[in-house]
Amino acid sequence: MGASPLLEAIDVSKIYPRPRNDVIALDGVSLCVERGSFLAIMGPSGSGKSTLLNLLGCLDTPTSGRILLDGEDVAGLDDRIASRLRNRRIGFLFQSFNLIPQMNVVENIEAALLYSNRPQREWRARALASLERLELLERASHRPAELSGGEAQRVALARALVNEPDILLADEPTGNLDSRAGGNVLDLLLELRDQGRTIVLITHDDTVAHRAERIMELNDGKWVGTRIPGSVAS
Amino acid sequence: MSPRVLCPLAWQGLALHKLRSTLSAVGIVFGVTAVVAMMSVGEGARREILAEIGRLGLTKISVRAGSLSGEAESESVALQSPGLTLRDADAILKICPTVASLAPLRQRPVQLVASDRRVEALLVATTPSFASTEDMVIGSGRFLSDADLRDAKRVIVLGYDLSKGLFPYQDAMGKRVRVGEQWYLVVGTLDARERSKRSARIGGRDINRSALTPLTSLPTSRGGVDEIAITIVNSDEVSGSARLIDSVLRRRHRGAIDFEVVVPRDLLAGYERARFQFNVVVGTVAAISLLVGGIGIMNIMLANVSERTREIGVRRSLGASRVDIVQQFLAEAVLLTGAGGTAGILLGVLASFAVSRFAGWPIATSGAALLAALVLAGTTGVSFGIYPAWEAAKKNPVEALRHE
Repeated sequence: MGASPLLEAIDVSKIYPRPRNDVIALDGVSLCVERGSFLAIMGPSGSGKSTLLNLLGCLDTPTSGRILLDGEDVAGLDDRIASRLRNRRIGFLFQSFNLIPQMNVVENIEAALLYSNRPQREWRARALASLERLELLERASHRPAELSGGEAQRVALARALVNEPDILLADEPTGNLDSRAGGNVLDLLLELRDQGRTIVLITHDDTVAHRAERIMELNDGKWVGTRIPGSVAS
Repeated sequence: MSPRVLCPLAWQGLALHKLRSTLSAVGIVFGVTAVVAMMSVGEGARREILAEIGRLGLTKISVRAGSLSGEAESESVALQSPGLTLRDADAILKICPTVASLAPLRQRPVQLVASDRRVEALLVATTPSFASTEDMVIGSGRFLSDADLRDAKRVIVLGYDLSKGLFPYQDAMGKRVRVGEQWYLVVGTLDARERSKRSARIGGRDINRSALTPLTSLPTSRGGVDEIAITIVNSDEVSGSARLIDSVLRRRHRGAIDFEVVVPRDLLAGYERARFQFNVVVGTVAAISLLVGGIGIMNIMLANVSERTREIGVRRSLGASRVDIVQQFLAEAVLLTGAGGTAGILLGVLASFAVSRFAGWPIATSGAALLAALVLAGTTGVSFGIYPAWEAAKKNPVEALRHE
C-alpha cells in the first residue's frame, strides 16, 4: 500500500478570459502527491507548470476542478483562510529567490512568521534556528543584495521552512544558479524529502527532474505523462 | 497585526525612499503648522477678549456720548439734542428699576506732574458710585466721597501705574499732583488690575493708568458727560435694561443718535459670531492644506505600491491576507502623516511663539488643540492612504510575483 495522498488536483482547468480568445493555461489536469514524496513537473515554457503550481499553492483558483489538501477542497477558499493555509502548510521557493530587498536575511525569514499565529517573542529564535539549519547564521544581518545566488536561495529555503510546512512548492529553484549552487540546493531538497517533507518541483532541467521520485510532464496545459526516472513514460 | 509589528514594518517601507517620503510629508507638515499657529493665535485672542469682556462685566452697560460726524452733528443740532448729560443719568436711574448703580463720567487724556516726574494718564471725573460700577479695589486711602463731589474738592485717586510712576519710592497718599494748572491732593490709590492691550478695542479703559477726581471738579458748560457707567442687578436683565435705556435716551434726545449703548454681554455674542467666522476660515485653510498634503501622500503611496508589487506578491505567498496588505500600506501612510503632523505641531508651536514674541500678539496653545491637529493628520493618512492600500491588496498574487 502506498503513502496517503497529501495533495491532489482533480480535473483542474485554468482559463484566462481574453477579449478575443480565452487562454487555456491548464486543461483537465489531475495529479496526486503522496505525503513525503518528491514530484517533478516538466514541460516546455507555457505548458502550464507554474499555473499548476500556483493552483496547488492556493495562490490562484482554478476555473474548474478541485484541489484537495489532506482530502479537503481548498480551491476557492476565502482569502483569509487561503492565506492562513499558505502560511502554515505550504512553503514556496522561487527561481528568482524573491527576498525582500529592504530587509536583512533574518527579517526576510521573520516575514513568514509575521502572518503566523506564533508569539512575536519566538520569531527571532525560530528565524535564526532556520538559518542555522541551512548554515547561514553568519549572514543573518546581511541584505539580500550582499548574498550570492546560492546563499539567497538557501535563505529563501530557510524562509519557506520556518513555519514547518507540510509541502514545499519549488518553481525552478535552481534556474538562476550555477551548477554547484544548484546542486547544493537540490541536495537540500532531497535531504528534506528524506526527513519526510513533501516536495513538488518545477524544472526544465532533466538532470534535476531525475532526482525526483516521479516526473509529470505537461504540454499546452495538458497532462502528457508521468514517469519514474529511469523508466519509460506511463 | 499589532502596532508593535506594523510600525517597524511601515518604517522599513518608508525608509526605502527616505527623501521621497520626507518630501511627501512636507505638505502635511506645513498644513498642520498653519493650523496649530492659527489656532494658538486665535485662541490667544479669544481668551484675551473674553477676559476683557469679563472684566468689563456681564452685568454692565455703558452709555457713551457719540463722536459725531459733520452730518450727524448738524442733525443733532437740528433736533436740539443736548447730547449725553447728567440729566440723562438721572432719567435712567428714575425710569430703569434694574439699575444697581450708575456713574456718569467725563474723561480726557492728561499729563500728571509730581515733583520732577510726569506721566500720561486718563483723567476720569466721576461720582463715588463709580467704585461699584467699575469694581474698584482701593490699595490705600479712600475712594471719592459724596463730600468731595458736593464741594468740588480737588482730590484725586491714582491708578496703580500712576502712583508707582509718580511716586516710585514713597507713599503717594497725601501728596499733590498737578493736572494742567490745577493741583490735586492724592486721597487714595488703587490696586493693580489685570489688563490687556486690546482693551480699548472693546471699549475698556485702563484703570491702572486712570486718575479719578470728583465729577464736579471738571465742570462743563451744559452738564455734558462722556459716559454713563451702569451696573444692572441681574445679568439676565441686561439686554432688556439696555433696550429700555436706549428708548429713554432716544426720546430725550429727540431721535438724535448722539450716544451709544454698549453692552459687554452683546459684545460677547458678537465676538462669538466673529469667532465662528474665524473658525470657518481657519478650518477651510486647514482643510485645503491637509487636502493638498493628503493628495501628495496618496500619490507617493501609489508609487510605492507600484514599485513594490513583487514584494506584495511575496508577502501574499508567505501567507499575508488582503487585510494584512491593507494594514501594512495604511500604516505607512499613517506613519508618514503622523510624523508630518508631529513635525507640524512642533513648527506650529515655534511659529506661535515667534508671532507672540515679534508681533506681541497673545497666544494660547492648548493640549487638546495639538491632539486634534495630530488626529487630523492621522485621519488624513487613513483617508488618503486607504485607496493605495486597497490597490495593493487587490493585486493578484501570481501576477504580482511575476512583476519586474
